[in-house]
Amino acid sequence: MSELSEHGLDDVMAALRDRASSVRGSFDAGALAAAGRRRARRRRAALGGALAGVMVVVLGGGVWGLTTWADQSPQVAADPSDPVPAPTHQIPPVEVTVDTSGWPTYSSPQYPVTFQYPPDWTVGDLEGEPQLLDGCDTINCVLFVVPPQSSDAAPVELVRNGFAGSITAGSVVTFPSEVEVLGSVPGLSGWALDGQDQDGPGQVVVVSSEDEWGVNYSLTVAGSAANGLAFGAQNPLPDGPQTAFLFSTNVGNIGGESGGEYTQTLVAILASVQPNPGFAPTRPEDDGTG
Amino acid sequence: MPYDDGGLLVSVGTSFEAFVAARSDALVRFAYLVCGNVHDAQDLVQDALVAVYPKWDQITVRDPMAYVCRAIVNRNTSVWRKLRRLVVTADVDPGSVTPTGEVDDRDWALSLLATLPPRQRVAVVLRVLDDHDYADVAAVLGVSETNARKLTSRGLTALRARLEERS
Repeated sequence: MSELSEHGLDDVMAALRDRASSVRGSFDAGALAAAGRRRARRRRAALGGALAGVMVVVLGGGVWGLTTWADQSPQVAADPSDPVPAPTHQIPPVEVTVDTSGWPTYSSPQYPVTFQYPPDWTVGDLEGEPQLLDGCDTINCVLFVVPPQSSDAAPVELVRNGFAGSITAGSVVTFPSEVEVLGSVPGLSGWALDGQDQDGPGQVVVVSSEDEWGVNYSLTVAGSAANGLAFGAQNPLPDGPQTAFLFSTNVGNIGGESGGEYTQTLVAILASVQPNPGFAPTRPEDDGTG
Repeated sequence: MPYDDGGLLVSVGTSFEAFVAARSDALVRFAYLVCGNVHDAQDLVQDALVAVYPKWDQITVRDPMAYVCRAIVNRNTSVWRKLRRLVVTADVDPGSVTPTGEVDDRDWALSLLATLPPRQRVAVVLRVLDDHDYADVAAVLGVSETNARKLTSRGLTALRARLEERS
């Protein structure tokens, strides 16, 4: 044990200042600025893709509507390529106790799902710099859903594994402790990263788990111990490393203590997740900057 | 946020390049105390600076240092980063042990700081170590000033308790 324990808090602070004083930062502002410009270009390209996706959905919906209107007795045949297979588990929907009417919906072609968030929260830009670190990996492709400054709520983060294959069925991130299933997300099914649903996609559920940092709330596949999931009609994990996702938050971390109304808000955000028909992720090198 | 220890009071119109040149050391020190690892600290600062550059013109209208610090804090508390660190921190920092096998006082102090929950740690670093006011702490943590005081107080209380436990 250190001799510091025999002294007071002032000694600890002095030791910390001393330790930190030896740390230096050396960054090339020009390279950082160039990376920032590339990110901005990608964001604009993503926005264009999102608008195109919306147009496709709107036009497609119009065509579908005209078709069904013209045919008053439709015979809907089962399509083996139906993009929404039936879940293999039957867990009741998660209970949402806050009023989510009027919540805006976030949609981006970079993510396979959309979600809703409170009007006074903000969705940050897709953060990540594929050029500086090893591909647009998981720690860099993060979308923060941030509460207002006056709130103690925790930000929610939606992590895409990018294209470096950081999260795949072969590199599972598991929950640090027992999880409590809070309920399923209606209309959403996914593939577990630990491969426990090889015969078909499972029901997506909201779970909570506690660790030394606080309580984690995450989306996962029912029965899976993996903190993350993938979406698709067929299991995309073996061949599509860019399809693994983490949608999670930690209460007691940056964002306040466990319990209270905002915890219900966080659960409501996770429970609002729905498939994104405009999902069309771009690889980092596709933007012409790589 | 009056970060003036590097000779530049960050103000409206400060260029990104000037900010990086003047504030890099302070940012990495802040990130180091928050995350406890030099490599992670540099990674956090680099990532945060790249993220804020496209919005630099808007940021400098307010307080770029607080904005960048908040970006660092958000990244440090990212659930994914946290999980990733579970593996990375298995590495032992050779600098933490003296040739005689004793733990360096400074690293012992750092490990003590690391026992605090992240928000309390940030509050203590900003308020006590960097001598910022509670408004600055609140701005970085994205909480009210009242809660910034609570977090700082709880952090210091916890540190004192742990010091007593170990004495």
